[in-house]
Amino acid sequence: MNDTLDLEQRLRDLAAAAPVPPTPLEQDLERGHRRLRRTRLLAGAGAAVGVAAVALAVGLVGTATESGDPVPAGAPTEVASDDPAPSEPSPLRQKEPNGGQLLQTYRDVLAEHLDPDGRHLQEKPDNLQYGSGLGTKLAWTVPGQEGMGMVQIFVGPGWRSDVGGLCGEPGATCSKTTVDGVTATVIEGDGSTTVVVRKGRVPVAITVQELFGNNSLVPVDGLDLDVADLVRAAADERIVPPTPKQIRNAGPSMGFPALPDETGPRGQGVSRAPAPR
Amino acid sequence: MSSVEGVEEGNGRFWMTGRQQRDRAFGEYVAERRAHLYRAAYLLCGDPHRAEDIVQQALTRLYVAWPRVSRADSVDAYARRTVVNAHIDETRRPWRRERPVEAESGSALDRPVDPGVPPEDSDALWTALRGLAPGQRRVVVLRHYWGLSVDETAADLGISPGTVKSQTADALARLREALSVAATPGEHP
Repeated sequence: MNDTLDLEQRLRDLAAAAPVPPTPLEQDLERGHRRLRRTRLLAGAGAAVGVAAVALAVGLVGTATESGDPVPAGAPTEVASDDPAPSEPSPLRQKEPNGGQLLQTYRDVLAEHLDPDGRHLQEKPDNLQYGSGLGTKLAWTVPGQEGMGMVQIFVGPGWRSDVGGLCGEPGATCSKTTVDGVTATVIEGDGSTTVVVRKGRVPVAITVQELFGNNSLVPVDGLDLDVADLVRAAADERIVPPTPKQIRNAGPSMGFPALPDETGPRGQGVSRAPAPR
Repeated sequence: MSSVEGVEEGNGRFWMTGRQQRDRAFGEYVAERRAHLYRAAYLLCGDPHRAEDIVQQALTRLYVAWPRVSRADSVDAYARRTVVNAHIDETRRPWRRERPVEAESGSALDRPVDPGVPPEDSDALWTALRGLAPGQRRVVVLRHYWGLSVDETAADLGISPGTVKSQTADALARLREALSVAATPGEHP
C-alpha cells in the first residue's frame, strides 16, 4: 500500500514538473472549427446523394438545430450550432462523373481526412490504377524536403485490395481494428501501411508508404498519419465504387490514350510521367 | 476573448449564438483542464511534442462532440478517453510504434530534464515507465495518476476489469523492481 501511495505521489510530482506549452486557446478553437466544418461537409454530401436514409436524417436534424439563431446567454441547453451554414454546392455531382473526376473526388476525400491543411497531398491525380476497380497513387511531400512518400487508394477487387494476398506478403503483419464502428484490416509491411475497409462486397484499400518508389529515391520524413484517419477516409461514403464505364473512361479523361479493355483481377497502372526506377 | 463575443440586442440583453456559447464553454474548460490533459499525455508517451499532438487531437474531437458530452455532463471523461485513444492511435502508427525499453537503457529517453524534480528520481521513474508496455502504462496512468477505479479504467480502455487488475499488478511489479534497482543505497535516501 505504501508502495502504491509512493508511486502515486511520484507520478503526480513528475507530471507536475512537465513543461506545459503555452498554446493559445484560439488555436484549439480554430482546430475545432475546422473539424466541425469537415464533419458537416461530409453529412451534407451524404444527404445530397441519398446514400443512406440514416445519414440523411442526421443531416436534417443537424440542420434544424444549427440555425445559428441567438439564444439567451447562460441558457442551460447547449445547441450544436455554428455560423449559419452557407448554401455550399454539394461536392457530389448529379450525373455520373467520368473516371478522372471520380479519382479527383477520391483525392479530395483523402485530403480532408489526412491533410486538412492542404500542405502535403498532391492536388491533382496523374496516376491511374485500374482493373476490376479504380485507383490512383498520390505524392506526399513536406515543404523543404526532397523526399517523397505515397498515398494510394484503390476501390474495387484486385491485388491492391486483396487482404489474403497482402497479408501473405513476406514480413507483413495483419490485424483488425474498429474505428467509429467500422471494422478494417490493417496490413503493416516494410515502411508501408495498408488499410482495407469493405463496403458490402467492394473493398477500399488505402496504402501509405514513406517512399514513393517509382518517383523518388528519397523517403519523406514526417508522413505521420493516423491509422484511424485512414479507416475513416476509406469508410467515407463519398468513396463509391467505380462503374465499368468510369473504369474505361478514366484514362482518356485524364489525358492518357484510350485504355485497352484490360479490366481484370490483375489490373494495370499508368502514370503521366515515365517512372524513374 | 474575441472568439466569444456576444450580440447586443435592442433591449440591452446579452445574447450569444450557439457557436459562441460552445466556444465560451469549451474555452473555459480548456483554460481549466488543458494542463492536466497535457500532463497525463506526457506520462503516457514520455515526449513533450507528442504529448502536445495528443492533446490537440483530443481537444479537436472534444470540440466537435461538445454539445453531446456537455449535455451528458461527461466532458472530463470524454476528454480523458480521447487522450487515451489518441495515444493508442499513436502507438499503432507503424513509424512511431512504441516498444518497451529495458529498464537500464535510460539513454533511450528523449525528453527534457524536468524542473523541480531531482534528476535521479525523474530518470528512474521515467525509465521504469518507459519499460512498461503501452497498455500497462495506460492502466498505471489511469489508475494511479487519474485515480480511476478498476471498473472506470476498464470502461475507458474497453477491456475487462480482470485485465485491468492483472495489468496493474504486472505493471506495479515491474515498476517496483525497476525502481528498487535504481534506488541503490546511498543514491536515494
